[in-house]
Amino acid sequence: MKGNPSLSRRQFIGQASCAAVGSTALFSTLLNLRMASTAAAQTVTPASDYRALVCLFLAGGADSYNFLVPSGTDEYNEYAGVRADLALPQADLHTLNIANSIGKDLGVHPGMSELRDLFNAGNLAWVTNVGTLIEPTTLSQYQNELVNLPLGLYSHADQIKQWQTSVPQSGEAIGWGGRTADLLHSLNDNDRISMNISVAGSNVWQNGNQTFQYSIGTDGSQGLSGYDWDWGGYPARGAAIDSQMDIEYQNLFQKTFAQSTRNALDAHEEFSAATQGIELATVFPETNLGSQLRMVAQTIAAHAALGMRRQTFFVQFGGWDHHDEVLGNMATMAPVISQAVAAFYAAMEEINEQNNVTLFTASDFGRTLTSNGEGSDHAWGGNHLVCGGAVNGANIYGTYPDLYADNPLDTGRGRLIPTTSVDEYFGELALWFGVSSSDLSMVLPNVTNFYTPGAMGPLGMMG
Amino acid sequence: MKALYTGILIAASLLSWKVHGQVDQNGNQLSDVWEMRYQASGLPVDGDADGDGMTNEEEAEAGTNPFDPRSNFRLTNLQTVGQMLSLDWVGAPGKIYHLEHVSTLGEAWSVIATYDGEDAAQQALIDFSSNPGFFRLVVTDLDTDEDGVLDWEEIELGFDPENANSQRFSQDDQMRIEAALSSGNTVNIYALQVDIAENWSAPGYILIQRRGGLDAFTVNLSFNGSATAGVDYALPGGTVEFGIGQLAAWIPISALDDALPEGVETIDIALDAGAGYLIGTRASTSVSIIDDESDPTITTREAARFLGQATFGPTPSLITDVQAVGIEAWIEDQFTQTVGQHQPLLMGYDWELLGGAIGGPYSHHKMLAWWHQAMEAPDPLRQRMAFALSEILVISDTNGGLDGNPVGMLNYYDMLLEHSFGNYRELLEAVTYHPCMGVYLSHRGNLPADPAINRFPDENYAREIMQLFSIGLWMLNDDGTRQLDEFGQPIPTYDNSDITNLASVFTGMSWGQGDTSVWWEFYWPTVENDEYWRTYTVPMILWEGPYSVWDNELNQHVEQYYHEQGAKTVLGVELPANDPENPEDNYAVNDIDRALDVIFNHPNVGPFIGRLLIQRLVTSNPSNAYVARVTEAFNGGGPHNPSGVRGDMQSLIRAIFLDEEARDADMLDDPEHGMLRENYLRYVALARAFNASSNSGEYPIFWVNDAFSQQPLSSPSVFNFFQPDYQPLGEIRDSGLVAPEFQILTAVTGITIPNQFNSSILYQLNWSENDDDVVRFDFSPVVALINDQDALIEYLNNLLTFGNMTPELHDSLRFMLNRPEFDGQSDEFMVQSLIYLIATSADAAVLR
Repeated sequence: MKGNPSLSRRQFIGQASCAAVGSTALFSTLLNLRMASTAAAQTVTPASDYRALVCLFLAGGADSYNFLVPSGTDEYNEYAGVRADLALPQADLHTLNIANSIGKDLGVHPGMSELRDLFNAGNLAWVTNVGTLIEPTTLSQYQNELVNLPLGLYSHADQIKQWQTSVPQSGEAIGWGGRTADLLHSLNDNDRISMNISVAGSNVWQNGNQTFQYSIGTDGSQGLSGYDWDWGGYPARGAAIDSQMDIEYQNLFQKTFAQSTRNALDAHEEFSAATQGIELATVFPETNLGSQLRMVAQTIAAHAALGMRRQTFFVQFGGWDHHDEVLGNMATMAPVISQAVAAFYAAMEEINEQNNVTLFTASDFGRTLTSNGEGSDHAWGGNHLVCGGAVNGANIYGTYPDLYADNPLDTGRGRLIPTTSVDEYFGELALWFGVSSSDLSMVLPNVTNFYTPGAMGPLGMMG
Repeated sequence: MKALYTGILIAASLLSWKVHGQVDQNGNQLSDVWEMRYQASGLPVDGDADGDGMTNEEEAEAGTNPFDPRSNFRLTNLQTVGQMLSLDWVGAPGKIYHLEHVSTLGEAWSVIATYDGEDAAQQALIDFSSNPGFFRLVVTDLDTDEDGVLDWEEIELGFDPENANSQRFSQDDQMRIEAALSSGNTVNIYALQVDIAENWSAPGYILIQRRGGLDAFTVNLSFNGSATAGVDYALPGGTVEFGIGQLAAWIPISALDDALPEGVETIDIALDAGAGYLIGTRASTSVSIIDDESDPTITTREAARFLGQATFGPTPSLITDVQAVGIEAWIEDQFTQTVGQHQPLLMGYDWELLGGAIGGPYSHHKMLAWWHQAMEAPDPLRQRMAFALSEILVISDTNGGLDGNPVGMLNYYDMLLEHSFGNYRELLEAVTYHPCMGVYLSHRGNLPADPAINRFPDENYAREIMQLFSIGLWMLNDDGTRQLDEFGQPIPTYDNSDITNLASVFTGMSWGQGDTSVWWEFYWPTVENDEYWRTYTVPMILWEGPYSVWDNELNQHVEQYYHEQGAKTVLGVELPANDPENPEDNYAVNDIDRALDVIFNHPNVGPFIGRLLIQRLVTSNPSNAYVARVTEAFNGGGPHNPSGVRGDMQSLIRAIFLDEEARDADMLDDPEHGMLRENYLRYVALARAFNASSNSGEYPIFWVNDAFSQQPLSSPSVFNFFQPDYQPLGEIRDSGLVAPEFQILTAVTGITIPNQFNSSILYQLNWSENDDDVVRFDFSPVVALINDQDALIEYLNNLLTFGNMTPELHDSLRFMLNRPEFDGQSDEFMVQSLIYLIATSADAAVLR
């Protein structure tokens, strides 16, 4: 299932249909193009071809140098020296069996034993010291302002946005998941439900120029109570609800409101029909993140009924802004990630989609290596995990940096300049998902500052 | 069947194929709907009334006009591009167009593509090379819902072609249409917004509804009364045209302003007799014009709209209050009202009675006090301001140290209330010293840098007080636009050295109950009677030092300061170091004071905070001029700041609410004006409109936050529930506008909110084992109006849609009430249905 099918024909159609969204006048042309392309398209993308990307966003800025920690004694001592009261005990780390040696040993947080197992089994990889960059950046370039730097470095709102847009020089809220969907949504046989589904409300990542995101809850989609009741006065009331939603308002806020209710109702009818009755045997942990990922797994199980060949999902686990009590908070929160991700991977195996689904983490930023007294502050580069059968697992991608204080990446207080850009990280995922290498810079406008699109991905992470 | 041929040689010919299922009561083979549409009754099937080469029957099949030679079914363009052939035609909605192909003429045609008819030019593209031969385009009909009425006919009449029982009538569409064709028209007239004002230009709307028929006709109107048309009001036309299938029409009535004291004048609008209709029981209605020269009272709707901005929502008594004194005086009076505090209420509850909360209160219990004051406080303007401030100066109990501290949360809220009418500088100071903020943004217990052990001051509060609470990220002009440098780039307000320096200022602060003469009370204050909740209510204090502290490594006592004694540079201003030779009394307190002065006096504060407050209260996209006027008031100038004091909140409030952009009725017609109201506040407004209450007098409205993705003081992060620059995809974003509140209106809450409204309206707002604690709406004042539908709808219009219900919604409410399913329904059901429909509408959700 690895490799990237050539999508130029479909991509052309995709763009045509993008132009047609909201423009009924072009509908017949679109229909015709689709018809003409049916034969070709079917040979390119067999019905069994399915891929999903799941973004797990750790909101607040996870202290990810305590997710992935040097476990060899020399490197551990450097780590312990700079982290002071934030250091995890060396003996508690779960050591990883790294397939391609990086010259140092690493372990994961004591609460992440499931992630250790997934890693050692080859189904999980870590991307290290990754962060928002516009172009490759060194310490002296940073200090002397010789490079373009991300806007609003170290600020939550800006960095959350940029991790989701991968365009750190702009405040525009179009995400790379949305741009990907703009290119690829025509692979799906369903125009009525977005291929971008969020179980965690509105987000930037899935906003496209033409693609809306569809929000569901951890119990799926919701219908309007009383809307279909057919006794007494309810039919007249239900018809009045229809009329009320169909009023054509001039005011843009009223118009947008009315449309959003109508869209939610239409999507629910279709979504609930497709997902009804799907139950997985895999037991998910009783956490909110577990519930979110269970809903994602159920939706993936329904992808054929939904007519979907490409889907993205957004889940979120917040509360990582640990200016205080880093160790205690992470001791309860790291296992939540580990257990939920492991359950999700098991569920993918249950429905035999483990090679078609890739989950990855993102977060506002890494945190200062130094302590503010039991807490850490906003920083830059951090470590992230990628999980799925298509991942070349049991490996570390990017460069795991030296952690001693005032090292050549340290802009102060252990705020490390990223050595791998989000563009390289996401470029791997986008290429695997089906974006052609020639289209990659449409999805990730800065990617060519770091990587020349070609046969190999930027990191070699996805084969 | 009309077919259009094309091919290597373009051919055209006519075939005949009878369409079944059309409405044809007169049996002349022509659709009755088509005859009605073109007033074409009595035409011969084989004739060609417009001489365009298509018979009348063919025109009927194509849905075109038999009297217009330009209206017919033909190819308007035909061209080849490479191997592609394109053909164009003008479609009709409801018709279906088949593109058919045959290799050799004489063989059977096969359909190779199908197009839905559109009310527009349409085009087919054919790949010639793979389909050599002949092509033709055939127009035909569908009856999708198989109800005996063609899709084209249903669309023309405003019926649903996909549902045999359009609008869920028990009678199917064919029966209803055939009954209507043989029935006459009856016409009724209604008014909404019956009082209009000379000096506030929002129009009232006259609604005319037709029942019975479906044909086109013209209604005659007459205008009488004490008001003079063309002088006191703009004269609408004397007739109203109804197209086929059209059931309602409305006309705006606008007052004309003059300088004459004339008293209230009336416009009496009556239906006059005419051809094709009978006048129903509602033959006339009237509208009053309020004259500002003789009566300064503002209209109900103007007061209601203002209260939608300045409070959690209008109530009948507040509308009366505002009308009595006017908006300006009402605001001034609010400044003098007692503070409706929250913490004392929470302290007064009996926890065991409230569900056995032993050791309570728990976090959710704060909502008891919040709701109580949202419903009953004597200072609704202050309550609204404090809520807006709580979404800027954010603390939250959703996670971290404030979960389980509702007393502290409400103490913080009371602090916001107190300063809502005070000064922003004092507010910023009170926020800085509040222990809940100290916990939430972690500057409580913050220590100076100690590089030897790699410890540095926590930067959290230092960052957010600048980024979110005062100046923002970018240098602003007074009108809120960004300043640009010589390269056209925005200019940052601060850099990371400002953050680290300011972080050093916020060191040495800790629990207000502690004893600052003892070093360890910085960490472990003595708490009397184990009342730990109290530590979250006493402002933090400063451990000035120096303290003699035992050092384990040096094995001796060392002298330590808990507040950084060195100099700091913040926003270009140097804050002096404490000279050890000549120490300053209360250096730490003064250091913070000086830093707060620097922040407060930054020119960004006015436009930054002013714009955020306008967004929370009036409109998502204020004009630059509006922001500039509010900034002027913040900065100590302008007509609304008589004291001339910078940061004066009362002046800021006047400037926001009295501005023309908040007040002028013209803004109602600006498609970019207004805002989506916050999810939770829509619910609160509903409770206020219908005086929700419980027998116990309390409001235990808990656990509704999931339905709304919102609950006061419980945002997911310091960035509030939504961001000020959020842009929903679609027209708002395409227009370069923002709509922050849409960030939490998703496909999930878009449904859970109306569902919460539904269960609240039908049953109750909350669930409690104790019936005395169940909160219910009081619809009795509405039910009392049940025999006067005009008054009833007007009442709901003022309470729920700020007096600005659109005529389309008015029409659909009247239409529902007049349907047979509503015969015999209870008064309560009718009222509940109306309230649900209005409260869930865009008219209620958006404040214009």
